[in-house]
Amino acid sequence: MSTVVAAFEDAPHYGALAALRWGVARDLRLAMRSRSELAVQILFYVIVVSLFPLASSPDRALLAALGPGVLWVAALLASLLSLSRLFASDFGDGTLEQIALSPYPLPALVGGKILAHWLTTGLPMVVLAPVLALQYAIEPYVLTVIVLSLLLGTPILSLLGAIGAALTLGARGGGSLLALLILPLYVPVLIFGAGSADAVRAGLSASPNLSLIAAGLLIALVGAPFATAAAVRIALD
Amino acid sequence: MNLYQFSSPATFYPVAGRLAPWFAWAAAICAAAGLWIGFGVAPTDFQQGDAYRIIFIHVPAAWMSMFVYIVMAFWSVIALSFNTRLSAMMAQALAPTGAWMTFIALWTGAFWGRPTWGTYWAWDARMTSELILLFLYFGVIALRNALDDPRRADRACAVLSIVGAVNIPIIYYSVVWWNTLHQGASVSATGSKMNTIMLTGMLVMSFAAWFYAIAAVLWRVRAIILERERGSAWIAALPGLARA
Amino acid sequence: MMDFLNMGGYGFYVWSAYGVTALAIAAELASLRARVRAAEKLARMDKR
Repeated sequence: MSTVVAAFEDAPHYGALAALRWGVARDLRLAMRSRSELAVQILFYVIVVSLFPLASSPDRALLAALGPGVLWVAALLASLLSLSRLFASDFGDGTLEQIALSPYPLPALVGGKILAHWLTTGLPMVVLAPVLALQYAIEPYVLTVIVLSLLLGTPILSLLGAIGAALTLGARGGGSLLALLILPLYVPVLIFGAGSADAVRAGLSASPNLSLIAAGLLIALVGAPFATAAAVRIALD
Repeated sequence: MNLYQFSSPATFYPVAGRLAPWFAWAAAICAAAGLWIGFGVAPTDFQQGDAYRIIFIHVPAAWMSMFVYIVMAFWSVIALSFNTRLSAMMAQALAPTGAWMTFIALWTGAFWGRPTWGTYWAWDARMTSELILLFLYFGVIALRNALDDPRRADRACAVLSIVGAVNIPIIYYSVVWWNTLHQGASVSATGSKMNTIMLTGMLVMSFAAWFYAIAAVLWRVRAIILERERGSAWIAALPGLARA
Repeated sequence: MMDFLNMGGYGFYVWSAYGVTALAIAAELASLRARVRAAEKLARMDKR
């Protein structure tokens, strides 16, 4: 009896937290090795945000009204562009298959990759938002709400985007297909994200919109890693 | 009767072929009756004049657009859980019909909105989420076409359908959660405030839409079965494949 | 009859709505017919 118990106690433990840490560490290390690729993505965000004032009139009131929406749409587009590197290179050289074969829980491994994606894509956008908001004559109290909404919302973009990236691995149509699949899911995040700033500009509270984004984040945190893991296994079969 | 035998494409193919015409006729009869009630019997609305008669296709199409997605998500769950081919084929067959229903709901809604609210389109919660539903259908269809391996496409589209199903409660409850342009629910499980004749016409047309959708999906799943089960002995043994 | 077509002044909207619906149904059924026929043709070709 004690040997049976010992067998269970001595069994190797393949924990989720260890898997998460491994996923984040590896992907961050890989991202740091191609820093220019990251810089390009962030520059894309900066350029897109800068395009709108050039296209429309420099009227300050108009820009202040457009600003939150533009920051959010640019965040969506930049996120979409960066999603392909989440799984594509690992899929191409067979690493993803090895990751899926690992005894560690795949949702946790995938969750680590998603976290690394957000740290290299979403977080820079949150940090840059105040600087870019200068172009849009956005008031400070509105800016705080924008930054907060981006902080809560960009992880959702990474989480939902990962599902799409895994589903479209190796599929024809590439980035456009991914955009078609993911943008409908992104739209509620966009609506509440930009809506929180609009509410504050109108003198209302931002907390309904922010609460909904936070709720969406919680649901995505719980659901997306499992859906992504399922999609990865489907792509590898 | 053992219902599980119908999870075989070979067994279901002739059953679908026999059922579909019945549903098609039922749809036609209900549509005729519903349109008779809607245009011949129902009175002119006090507020909206005769423009309200669009309700007899707008509401059934909108209900079907949501219902077909739910059924598609249901068959997707079954397909992922039991790894059955026919469940995935049903999900595949449902998507185009659902997309058509969503398009009809959006178009008729726009043409109803113009004379009554003054605009073809407003970005209110229900319209926006119905538009998202159309894009979700397109996404499922596009993913199906983009993946070469049919079994991988089955599972990938199943996952996508299930993830997108979160949109359905948002559409349905949008008029409750948001105080925006689209009117609230006129019909619920507990009753309705609508004029009885108008309500009857709407319900009859809803059955017409439902039976039409069933017939279209049954015909489409037959085509899908023939496409995907190519080379099977039972197909070679089929009598009466239509002459070219 | 003219009253029916006019729909109390809203004829354009009502008949645009119903017209496009009829077109959509026709388009779906036509594409279905084409798909079924193509599938049956393939099946017949495999028979030989």
